[in-house]
Amino acid sequence: MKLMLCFRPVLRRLYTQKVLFISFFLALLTCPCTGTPLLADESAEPWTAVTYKEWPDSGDYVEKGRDIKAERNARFGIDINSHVDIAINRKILERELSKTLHGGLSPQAKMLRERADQLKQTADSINEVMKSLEELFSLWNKAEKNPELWPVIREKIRAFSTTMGNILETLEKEITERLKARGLDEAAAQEEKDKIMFPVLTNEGYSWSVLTQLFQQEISFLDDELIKLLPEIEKLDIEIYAYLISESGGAKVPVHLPPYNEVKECLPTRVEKLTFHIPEEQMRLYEQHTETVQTMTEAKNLAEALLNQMELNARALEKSITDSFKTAVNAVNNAGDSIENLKYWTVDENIQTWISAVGDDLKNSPQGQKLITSYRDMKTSLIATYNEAVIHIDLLKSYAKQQQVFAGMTPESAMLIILREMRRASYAIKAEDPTMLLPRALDPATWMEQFDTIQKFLDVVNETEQQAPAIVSNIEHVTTEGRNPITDAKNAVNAIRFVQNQLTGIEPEVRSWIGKVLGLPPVLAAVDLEPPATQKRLTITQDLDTLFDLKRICGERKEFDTVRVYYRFFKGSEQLNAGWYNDFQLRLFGWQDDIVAGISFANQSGTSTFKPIASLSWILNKNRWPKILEDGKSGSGVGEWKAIEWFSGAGITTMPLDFDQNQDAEIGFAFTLSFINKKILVGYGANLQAENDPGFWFFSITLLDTPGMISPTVKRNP
Amino acid sequence: MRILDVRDGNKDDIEKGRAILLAEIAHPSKTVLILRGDGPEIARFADAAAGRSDPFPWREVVWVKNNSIFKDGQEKELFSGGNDKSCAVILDLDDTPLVWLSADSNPLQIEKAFLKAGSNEP
Repeated sequence: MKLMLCFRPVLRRLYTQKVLFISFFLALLTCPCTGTPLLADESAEPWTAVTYKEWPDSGDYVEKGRDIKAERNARFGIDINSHVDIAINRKILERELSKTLHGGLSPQAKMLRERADQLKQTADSINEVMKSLEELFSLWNKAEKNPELWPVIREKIRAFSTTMGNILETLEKEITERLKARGLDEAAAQEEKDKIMFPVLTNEGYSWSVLTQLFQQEISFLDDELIKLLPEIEKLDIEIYAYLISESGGAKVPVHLPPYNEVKECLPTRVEKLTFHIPEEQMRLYEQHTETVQTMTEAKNLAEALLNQMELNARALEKSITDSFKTAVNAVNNAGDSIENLKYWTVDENIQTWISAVGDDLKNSPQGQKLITSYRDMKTSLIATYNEAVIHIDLLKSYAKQQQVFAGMTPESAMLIILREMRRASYAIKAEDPTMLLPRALDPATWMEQFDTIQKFLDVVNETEQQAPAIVSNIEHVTTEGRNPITDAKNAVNAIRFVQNQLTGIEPEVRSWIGKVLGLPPVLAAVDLEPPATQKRLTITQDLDTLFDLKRICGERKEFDTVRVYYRFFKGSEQLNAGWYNDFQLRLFGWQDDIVAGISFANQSGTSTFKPIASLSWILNKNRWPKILEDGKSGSGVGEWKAIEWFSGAGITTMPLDFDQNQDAEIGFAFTLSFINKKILVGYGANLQAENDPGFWFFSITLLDTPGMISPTVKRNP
Repeated sequence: MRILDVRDGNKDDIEKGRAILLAEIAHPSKTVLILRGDGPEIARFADAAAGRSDPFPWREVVWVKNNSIFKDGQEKELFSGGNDKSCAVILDLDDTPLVWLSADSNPLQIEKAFLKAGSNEP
């Protein structure tokens, strides 16, 4: 235990840096490079029509199930032995899809939709007002003793009253409108409206459930009216399909989703969480470690033992990075330069100089004017997002830099450099919580948005090229300080595409390996899988509910595999721009055990040397079931892989020892604590054969847990 | 709800009543509904107003049954914004009379009046 206390700050720092590295790779692998997401119309939110209910076969939610709110392209964690009901609210779906239909809505339909949207938005503020009321009560109780709180309370009262007033007023207005539309005169409608609303007011304040229900009811009334005005909605088709995708992204098994497809189901299988069994993979790894330790000598002290462990991990890391990403790194460098060139064109003075230089070509023609407008749009957007884009590029470049720095370095130095670079990157963006900010800075959506902005400008260039080829031909040759915005934009787009191609070419196995090395969740290849052969489309007026049962999927499933459910919509043969997918990461919740093979360094009581020893540890752990949020549902990210489990279980480690020269075979048993997703093991135990001083303690740092990843040839201690 | 009345012109009652009314109005974070008059209709209103005030400590109802409790000109000052039918006035957080209500107001109208007074910016 003393050892852990002594090392905890160091380990924590190392791991924090590792998470930065993880985030960086995550972003690298999910950035624009890996496929095209299904972008929905900006205002349409068809996923709000979908609710999932997970039914695990044991644990906290076995009786009532766990509700999960669908969100666009969100990830959720579900238990590996669950089945999931997918409920689709047709009215909401129809309303949201109506936003994607081209040709425009009639003024009446448009007005109804706006009213429904307004109502929905106001209903969403109910949770917020409930919280503010709670806060207000709590502050009021404190204020009697702290008069300085009164000004704060006044502001809170104002905020609460404004929001609550708006909620009641919106609902009242809507109910009155509806009643009047049904033929009631103003006075009768008011009277009836009051009757409907009275139950909202209670002796305790308000009935939130009645209030929510009234909103839902009015939204539903509006949806009904809207659908009547949109006969074409009834002609829309929906397609839902799903695949079980292995952690590496290599295996993809179609999933039965009745009545959408006739994919074969198999006999139910249950993944046992307490197996008390050594997986073949870990056994192979153990055997490999047994060979490896033969080539290692004792570490003279703790520092050297730690260094040996780091070295084992870093050596494999270095090789894989070099092999896998060599070509991508060059592409990234070019893309960085191209994007930086565009910065020049965000300066007003530069573009004015250029516009003056091209002169009449642009100013005197409508096409030219359009080009200028489009350019200005691009410029505005570029300025807004430029700083973030630079960070993005800097991160990619810092990775490239590591490649060059690695040459001729020892693995441990290389790893320290990686960590330092990542730390620097986090400082550069002034992250309060770098693990959160890094992925956001590298969010593919931000990147794609910028890419789109540049592309839009080029689209106008192309359009102008067709309509007035002379203009483009002329202005492409006009430069300011040797630069031309059209050429720079074209170069940037081409360079980004090249990066995409290079990174997309990386084998899924390599991605998976990097994930394993860094303790990452799997990164799915963001490719759009096509529907299975037996897929059917349903018209959206039918019953659209469906379900999938993990236990009956015809394929082996493991923790961290993912079920991806796709939603697509069609008007005839035309696909609407309203699809999305949801990922369900398979997790083991509740009690479970795990066998971990590792290379440990053991220290016999009374000695100062550390022997490298192959070890097998049985770790028992309880993975808590995901919590349900305050609104009674689980949102995106709930239950999925968490970056760090500081304490990840306890158990027993066995290892062959060689402390006593008089004994042929010695076996050590040690009670073990595991930390950081079972990557660090520490234990204290006894050498069962030792006659004197049987006690020993050991530690093991195992970032690599895949057979074949650690070379049996490691640097010998001098 | 605070009910203020005067027994047979008792000056002490008047003084105490004035002090209470003043203290409630002067509270730094309360919206105060001042109800005037007496009778069955006013009593019904008082019940409804208390129903919308009791759940929230920052709302207060003061029922002034006897108008001699008002200082000279105070009643006029409070109720001049309303009309003849106004039996109640709600003061915002800065003690400014803001909403006037008649005795036939229902709980929903009283609730909205409290919210309006609560949300009023200085």
